[in-house]
Amino acid sequence: MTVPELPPRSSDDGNSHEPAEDALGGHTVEELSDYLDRGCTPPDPSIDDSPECQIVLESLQRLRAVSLNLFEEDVKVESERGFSWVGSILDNIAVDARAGRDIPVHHPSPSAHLVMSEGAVRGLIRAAGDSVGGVLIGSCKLEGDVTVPRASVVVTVEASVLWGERIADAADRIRGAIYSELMKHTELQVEAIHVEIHDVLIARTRPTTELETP
Amino acid sequence: MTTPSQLGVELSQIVAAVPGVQRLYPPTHPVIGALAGAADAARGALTSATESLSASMGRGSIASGTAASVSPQIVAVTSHLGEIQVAIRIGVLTSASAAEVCRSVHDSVADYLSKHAAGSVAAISVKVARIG
Amino acid sequence: MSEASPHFPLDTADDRTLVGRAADGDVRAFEVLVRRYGPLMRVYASRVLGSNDETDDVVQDAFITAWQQLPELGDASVVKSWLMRIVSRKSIDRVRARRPHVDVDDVDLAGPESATPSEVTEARSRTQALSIALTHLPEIQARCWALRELAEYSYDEIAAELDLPATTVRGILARARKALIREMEEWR
Repeated sequence: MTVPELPPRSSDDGNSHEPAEDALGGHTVEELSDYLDRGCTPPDPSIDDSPECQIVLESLQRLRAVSLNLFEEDVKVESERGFSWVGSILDNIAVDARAGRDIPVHHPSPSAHLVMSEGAVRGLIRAAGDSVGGVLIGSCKLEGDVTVPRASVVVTVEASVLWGERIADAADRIRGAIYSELMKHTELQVEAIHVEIHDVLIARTRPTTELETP
Repeated sequence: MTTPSQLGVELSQIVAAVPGVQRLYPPTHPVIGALAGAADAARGALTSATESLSASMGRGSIASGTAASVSPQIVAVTSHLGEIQVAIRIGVLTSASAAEVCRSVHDSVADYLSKHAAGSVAAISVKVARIG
Repeated sequence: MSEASPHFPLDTADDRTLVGRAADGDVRAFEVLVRRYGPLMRVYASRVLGSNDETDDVVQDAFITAWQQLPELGDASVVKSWLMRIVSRKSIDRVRARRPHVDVDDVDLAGPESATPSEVTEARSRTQALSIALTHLPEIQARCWALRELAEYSYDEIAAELDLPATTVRGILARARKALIREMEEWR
């Protein structure tokens, strides 16, 4: 079904001062909205030099600003209302979906099938890294065929470092903490631990620095 | 003779008592959360079909992963043609080596089965699902 | 040395850290994301839905999907707009389920009677005036407005989401803006 040309519902009440499209130098409000969305570039003199168009553009701009203010206010009110809804979200996510691969644990008995999940090992690595003060581990990758007994693996973690921490020191401490925890809890042969510092709290735009294991 | 379900309860207590074990998790890969109802139904079907007793899959403990207590029937025991299979999923403390705790759990279960279970042991699966 | 370093709380982490951790299975990191963007998504969803009744369900659905798909999110810096897309989709699905055959003409034309100016003029603030004015818009106009202004969808994207021709979307948005501007002028 085609949408018929709608009558200007509003101007029917007769109290509208909105300029008719004729008065907009042939431009429609749609065109002016598009123009605004484009950041008023490239400049169109037929719009820029028309006082009627400028009035509409200003109204549209004002509306946009108020819209964003309203949204921000609503979000603030919503935040102040509390977070009682968070619990049921967390109760409903499938934590197991992140278990990852099965990493074997050696046992001499043929009937023994002992494994730890990759997810458990990633959690261990995160906790080890976080235990180093002033840093926070981000993503964590285990490369290598960890499903093979005593596999050799390369660990790569991202980390944020609090502003003021020396990055190279922090990376060394992270590497040390992760290594000793992996040695203690797993049978993986750790070939290398890469620490990528991607963020410094406060100075968030700092570029990624990769620090390789010696 | 001990039924698989009784054995499941007994083994849960054995596993929970192993030093370093923090908690037990349901051993299967449960369909969680929004699909918890379906999981319950699936468990019912599974139980009746294969005589296995899956863990009591309390929704709270599966989904939130925060329930600290050990459910009484959280070790799955299946008996098929006289062969016993056991599946266990655990969270361990960081104080002891996770790999060692995993082996200790296996050994404790194997020891218990050799003394109390009729039939041979086909498999004992232990999975460390969480460390710390 | 490390004892002297301050603790780095998770809720101050940037999105990239949180997304990386949540993708790896860290529920606490996911919770921080939920608290960070949930209120935004709730406000937005209720604007698209036109009511608060289904907000809890829609936002919960959106976050469950987000949790499932987080490992595939390549660029963590876009997590906010990615979440807004998911909640948009869920909200629109809900609206569709509510009214399987949306007749654009009807919906667009069957707006409430012309606004009572007094309500708007009595608004305490410009934003409150807009809030009232929005309640006077036909549902489809308010929805397009939310998609365009709050989630920054393009006309084509709105058209795709709502199964409408892009030209229709342009028209709907223009009418919405005209009506809102008119009411806002009354407030002034």
